[in-house]
Amino acid sequence: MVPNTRKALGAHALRPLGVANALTVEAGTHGEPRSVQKPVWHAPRRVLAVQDAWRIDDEWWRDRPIARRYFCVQVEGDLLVTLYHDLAIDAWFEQRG
Amino acid sequence: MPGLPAGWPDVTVCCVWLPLLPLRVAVLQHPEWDGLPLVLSGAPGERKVVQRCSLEAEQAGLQPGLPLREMLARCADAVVVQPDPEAEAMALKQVIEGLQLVSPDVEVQSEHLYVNLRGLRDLHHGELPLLDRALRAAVPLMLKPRIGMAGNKFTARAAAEAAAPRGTQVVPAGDTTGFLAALPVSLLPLSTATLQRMDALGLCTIGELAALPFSAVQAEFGKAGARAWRLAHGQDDEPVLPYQAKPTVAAGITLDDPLSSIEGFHTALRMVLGRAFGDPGLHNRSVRKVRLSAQLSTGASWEQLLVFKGALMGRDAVFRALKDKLEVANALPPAPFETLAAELTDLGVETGKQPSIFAKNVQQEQQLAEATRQLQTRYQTPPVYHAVEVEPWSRIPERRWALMPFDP
Repeated sequence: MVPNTRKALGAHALRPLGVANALTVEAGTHGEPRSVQKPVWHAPRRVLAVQDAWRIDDEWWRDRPIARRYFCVQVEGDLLVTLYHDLAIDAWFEQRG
Repeated sequence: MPGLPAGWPDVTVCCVWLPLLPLRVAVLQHPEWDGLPLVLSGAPGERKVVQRCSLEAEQAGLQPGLPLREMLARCADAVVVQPDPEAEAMALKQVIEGLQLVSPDVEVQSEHLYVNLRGLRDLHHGELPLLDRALRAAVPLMLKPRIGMAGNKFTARAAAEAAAPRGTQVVPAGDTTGFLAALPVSLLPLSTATLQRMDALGLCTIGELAALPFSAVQAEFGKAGARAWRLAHGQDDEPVLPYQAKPTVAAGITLDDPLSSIEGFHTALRMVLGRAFGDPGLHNRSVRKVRLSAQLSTGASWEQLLVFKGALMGRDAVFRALKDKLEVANALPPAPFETLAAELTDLGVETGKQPSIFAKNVQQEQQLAEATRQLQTRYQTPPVYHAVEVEPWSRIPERRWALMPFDP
């Protein structure tokens, strides 16, 4: 039997790339975003058009299932923003990457 | 402990038996399972059959080898326990350390732990019950240890297996032959084929074997039979071989999100090995054995012990060998893993290493490594990272790529 030192594991985790940033979003009655505000913006920007929408449900067998409703929206200033509504914790994030 | 003789009979070896250790370790973690029918299933990826079962489960009609789906039909209350080698090894290590406080000579043979009792008499004022109390203090009660004390290892083991649950059986050296006589021959260290032949010849008890002439037993059953005959007569001079912890270098990582892909496993493995080879204990040392362990997202643990044909030096050589061995044996973690740890042992001295004089960018790599080391010393955290593919096909964008510290 190999002796076991049982040393504590180091917290040297892999750092995921493209981690989502929190956003402030005002949503409509059907859950679609109406205005978006990033932390670096002074004021919310109105959503001019929703260009695409899709949904991801994954890892439903785990403690933290993934349920996201994605939107690719055009906001004032002709910017395209990909954001999602995390249905598990009811919060909005900007998806990067 | 009631039933223990007063004073100190002629005993020199103690055997602490931890029956059904994997199941009892599960009870240690879930005390509410004590008394329930427990069943040990195969590891994830193995056949779905009962591996071992508790006494309560046996009474409910369960037995090893039974398919799990039939098991639930026979005993709906049965609790299925998944193997957790990590927790088991940790519990066993605690018991060993506790027993080593009683006697420095502790030998481990799976679920049987032998303790050399020579020289302990005066320490316990010549009172065996005091020693028994000290031994029991080293073992959690939930593990239901059975203790046997005798004049040699084999008899001590037989005494432990004959003891009541959580009980102690003492067999003074003078009573060895009489005690062993009534026990079945299956307790002797004999192969199944030999035991079947003994059964065919009507030899059921150790006493019946001991009654035969030595020459006849040796002629019929060979070397193993001769040893069995000696054991049946209480002749066992095998010493207690002290357990010795070997120098080991360990490293591990904890992941925020479980990884399930082969590429992710390789990335994590490379990183863990990088950490391990950064340990001064591995400086200019080679490695023969690696124990990999992981906590799976299912709650179970995974463990693999890999032995190399020759000593290997350096992270890349060990990584390549592990990668090949795991892939050939199809022994990768059977479920997404949340932690990955490696313990490198059987460390040797440096072997010859001849780098190529034509290798490109050697100077550049050395400069980068030196600069990284200096920055790390200054900021205490890895200052340079490189991006690696983890699960490039994942639907979740942040799972596709990750930053791994550059480890020179």
